[in-house]
Amino acid sequence: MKPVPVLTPVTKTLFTGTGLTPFIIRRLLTAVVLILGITFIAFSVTQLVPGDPVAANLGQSAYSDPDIVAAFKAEYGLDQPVHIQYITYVGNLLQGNLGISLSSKRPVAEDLREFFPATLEIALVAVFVALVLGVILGTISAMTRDRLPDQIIRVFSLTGVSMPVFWTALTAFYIFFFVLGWAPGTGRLEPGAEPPPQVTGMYTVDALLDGDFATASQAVSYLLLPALVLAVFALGVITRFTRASVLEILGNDYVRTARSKGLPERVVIRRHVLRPALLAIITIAGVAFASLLAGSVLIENVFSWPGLGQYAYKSAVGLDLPGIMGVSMIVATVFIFMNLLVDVLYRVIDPQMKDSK
Amino acid sequence: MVKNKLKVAGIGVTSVALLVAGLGAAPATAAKSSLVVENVFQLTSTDPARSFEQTGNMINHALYETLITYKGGDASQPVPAIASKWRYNSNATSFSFTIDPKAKFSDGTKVTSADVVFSLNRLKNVKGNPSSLMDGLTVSAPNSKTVRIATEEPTPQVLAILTSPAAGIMNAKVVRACGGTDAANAESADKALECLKKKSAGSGRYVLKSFNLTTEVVLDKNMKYWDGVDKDGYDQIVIRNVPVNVQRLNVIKGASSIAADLSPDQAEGVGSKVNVIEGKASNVFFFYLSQNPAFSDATKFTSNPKCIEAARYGINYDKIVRYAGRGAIQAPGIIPSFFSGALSSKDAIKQNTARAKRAFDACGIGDTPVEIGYWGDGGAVNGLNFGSLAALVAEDLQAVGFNVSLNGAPIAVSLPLYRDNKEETGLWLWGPDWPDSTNYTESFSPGTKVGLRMGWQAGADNLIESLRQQAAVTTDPKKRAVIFSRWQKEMNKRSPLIPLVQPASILVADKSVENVKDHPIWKINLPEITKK
Repeated sequence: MKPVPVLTPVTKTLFTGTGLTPFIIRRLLTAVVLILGITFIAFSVTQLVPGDPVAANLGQSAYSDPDIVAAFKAEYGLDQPVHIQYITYVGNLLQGNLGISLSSKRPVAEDLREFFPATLEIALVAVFVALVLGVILGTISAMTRDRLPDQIIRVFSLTGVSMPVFWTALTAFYIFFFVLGWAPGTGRLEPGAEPPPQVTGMYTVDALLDGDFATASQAVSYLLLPALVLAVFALGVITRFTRASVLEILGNDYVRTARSKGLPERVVIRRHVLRPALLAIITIAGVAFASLLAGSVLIENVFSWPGLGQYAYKSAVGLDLPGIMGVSMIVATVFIFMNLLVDVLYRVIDPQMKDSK
Repeated sequence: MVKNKLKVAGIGVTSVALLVAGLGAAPATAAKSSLVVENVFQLTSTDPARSFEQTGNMINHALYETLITYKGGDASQPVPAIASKWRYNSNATSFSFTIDPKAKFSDGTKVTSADVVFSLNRLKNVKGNPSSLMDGLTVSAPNSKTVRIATEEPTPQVLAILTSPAAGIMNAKVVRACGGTDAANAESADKALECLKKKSAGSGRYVLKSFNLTTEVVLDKNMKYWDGVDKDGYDQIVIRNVPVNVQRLNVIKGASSIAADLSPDQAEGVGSKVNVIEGKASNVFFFYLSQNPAFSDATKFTSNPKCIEAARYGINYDKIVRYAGRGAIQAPGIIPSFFSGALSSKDAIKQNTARAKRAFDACGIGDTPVEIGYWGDGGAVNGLNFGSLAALVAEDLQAVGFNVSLNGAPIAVSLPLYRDNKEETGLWLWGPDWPDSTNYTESFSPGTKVGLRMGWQAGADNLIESLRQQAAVTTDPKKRAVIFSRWQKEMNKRSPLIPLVQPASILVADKSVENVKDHPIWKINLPEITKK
């Protein structure tokens, strides 16, 4: 009797081949292991914090009442040994249950469904603005090296990178809302306004899907300022990276050849400079996007934007373990996904990379 | 290809149109009158049995009426709410309330004694944050109009406890339909929490329209309010979670109606379009020295009365009051200025450096290092930052001779240390659970809640403990005031507790808003606010 092969040739190709599909499958499988590893690290680190979730979540009288403390511990499984708590958590996680938040008292998955799209909405606008403006400004800066436009752009990009984000947020809010009256204020919609029916959780998109253009327009007006403030840092980084990449490529022989052939400058830049520079820009844009998602807490606070950052802060302050774990996983997933996307785009842009595993 | 280009162009045009519309869009004027209150949220839910935080109290006070309540900013004279009259026996062990026959929930159902029994038993049995309010209380309904509350021991503070928004009366039928129960196993069997974030089940002037834990809670006027709908009341109240510095800009700009969390300094220069309503905060900041000699080298000495004396007379209270800003006063005792038996400024401890130094020498602590624990990650209440306050106290103690260092930590870390008596010294505050001075005698005496946090065991001071017992059983208001006053004076002589400051509580309101009052329990009297 012939032994049955563990992997059929097709399956084997899927797991070990050098094409794009096997590459993505391998990366996705690794991602699952990585996320599980992250749950372990996040859980262990939270346990190391010398705080007490019971004290952080119960009031001064309730904490002195043993019945209430026991009821609270039993409700959230805090009366179990730590390793049992972790095993229970992973067991529930594999069934799609992220647990109940200690601070909101509802399923973490529901919380994340509400908070994550709010952050995603400003981060998407921010990264779009940063990417478009950053590439344009970086290219102009490189093309006008050491001349006035370059100097101005460098000052602005350096300022964007160096300014503390909460300061930028407060200053922008003060100028555009308080002094000029151009921005409408804090929050996602005007006070008491009915949000659109949730489909994606992004108000602008949901309002458009609902055909409610008034709400969509209002949502855009509230979205713009926090998104632009969030874009400032990424814009600075992308501009500086683009400038450096373009300068490096401009010195290559093939660019000089293209120019000497009499090709118009815009064609030289588009075909021979920007395309190779894209690799570096994509890398930094991917990292910037993931960082924007994870690091928007201060901007969300200033603009009362109910996003992942505010939820993470509330969870951390209240030692809300299920909340902290949920946020850690979603941030990790975004980073892993963005890295995967960047690697896939590399392979699309640079076919030489297709043969590597 | 052309189609794709057209598609891209279409998306581009739509995006630009939205951007332009967005940039120019000013908030539309709502037809309804709307009161926008901005506050840094301390909120978990709008279920009265589970909510005990300041924002939750403020909201629930508008949604759920209690048997009795207070008017305006007062916290001393209960007035009728759902109960039209009440009486109690001379030793304060039996209380009887008659339900107003007109009282109705927002759905038009009559309020009955069964609803009251259900609500108060549910408060007790869900074992949430405010459940301890019901310790020792038994509720019964002899008939549909009467509610009786019996206590195991004389409990004159029952009336004050029943004004708490946590004791809000709920429509039992609605809450049961939401999965709620008042059974003894309600801690696990009650499933009404989520439902009560979507709709309210009370008889208040407002009903819940929407709830979001981190952004805003919207209340609509109860158009069937049983005691007559107030024409001048707002159609809608929006309570928003906004950081303090943004609150200031919004209220000055007219984008909000009330800013609830400004410090006295921030309330300076807010302009002529707003009113500044200044009251006294119900929080009293205090410093203590651990009385647990076995805890550390330092506490061998901090438990010595001479060390306490050195600290008590070494602190520069005037400097702390100046730091706390306009409207703040030195706390002459732990009971805030508006409660029965509060001490006057002439009873306050005055700094006496010479006496402090003599006591320090007699205490023998020398240069043994002592740490001050406090909420250290920028924690601030009523505009007072714990870190700054701790630094001021440390400076004074160092001047006396103490080798003090600051040991602030994030609240999740520092609070358990304080609550578990694991600090050598600490700087904290107390806000009342119920508006009555017994909350202080029952919390700060030896062997009680904060007493134990300070390592001050039962039996440590017979006189103070005896005064606590007397306060608990005395019902005559004048006699109670005398006992509370004496209890505090004795505390100032011998306890490890050193009251520091009672800050101001500031509300900044648009001039179109009337009847705004600061309240020690629910912060703002939302249901009473009217428009000009």
